[in-house]
Amino acid sequence: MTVTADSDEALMARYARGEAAAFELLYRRHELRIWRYLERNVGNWATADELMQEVWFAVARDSARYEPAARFTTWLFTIAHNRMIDAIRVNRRQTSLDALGYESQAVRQQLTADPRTGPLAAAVAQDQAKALKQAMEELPPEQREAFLLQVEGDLSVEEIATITQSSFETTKSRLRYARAKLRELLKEFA
Amino acid sequence: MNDVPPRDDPADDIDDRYRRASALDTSRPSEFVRRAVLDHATRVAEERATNSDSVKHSRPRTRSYRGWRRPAIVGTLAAAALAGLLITPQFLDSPLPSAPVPPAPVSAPAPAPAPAPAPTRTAPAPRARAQSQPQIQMHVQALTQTQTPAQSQASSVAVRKETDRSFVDWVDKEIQV
Repeated sequence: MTVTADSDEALMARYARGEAAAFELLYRRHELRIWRYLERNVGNWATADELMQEVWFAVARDSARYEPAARFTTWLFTIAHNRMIDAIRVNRRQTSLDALGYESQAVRQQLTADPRTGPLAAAVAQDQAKALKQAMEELPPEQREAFLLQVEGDLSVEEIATITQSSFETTKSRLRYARAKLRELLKEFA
Repeated sequence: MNDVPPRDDPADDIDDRYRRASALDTSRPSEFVRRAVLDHATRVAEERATNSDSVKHSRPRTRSYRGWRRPAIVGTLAAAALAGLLITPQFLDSPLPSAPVPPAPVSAPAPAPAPAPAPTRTAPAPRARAQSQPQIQMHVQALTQTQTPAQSQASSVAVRKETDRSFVDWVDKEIQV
């Protein structure tokens, strides 16, 4: 594996030597991907926040033991997967997207929307984001996770199979089904 | 590293659609989480730096500990060797079977002039040594008898000096013969 000066692996090595700024770079680089992976899997903002914190705490704590035998993202998403499975086992899914309701979603979107965009653009973006979340919610959990690991984590089928402890063929099949279903659910946004 | 295998669906447009829709999603982790994570990471880094510093500082301490150990060992060995040199001549003087070996002379504080005549005692030639067995026996007997614990230290030193002198005279005479 090639480790360039600012690669994830190099940043981890720098952080392991005590350079806190390297960790911040790493965090900013992967923050949104991990967040989306967690939030879209658990369907709960608060749980996603808790898991987000746990995942990155684990990264900081275990950075000294990290060896760049595999890509950093594979290691990072493995931690995220394991934390999420633990949380699901303990709590199950406390609140689904439906239970949160359209209103709470709308309030959140309004709070986080970019004020520079006009109300129409904001409404369209809000609809698309909502449709995406609903589509993700409708996927079976295994298909959803496999798909999110690929699009957010940029992981290969082999890597996803390793993380989810499934066979290569099963993983490939999950990804195929997930895409077919999403294509159907998001066709109006094509 | 693994390469992404070719997917069944050609250049999936659904991934692009997902990304476009995802980009419109403005939900983010809370600022509180970001702060907590970065603060924690900074703390861990500081602890790590402190630990590595303490390891670095502890190394010279180990070295200085080792530094005083060697002279201490050498000093102990030198003291033991010196004690051996002081005690050994007394054992060399009394290996004869006929001589009684009381324990007192070894444990008693050794008188200062005792080691002085030692080189003279080892001087006799082989020929003279063969003839002088009874004389040596007598000398040893005199030594051991004069060094009984009952006698005071002063008198035992005086007697010992006298016997040593007579022994040296006898050796000189033997050499001249």
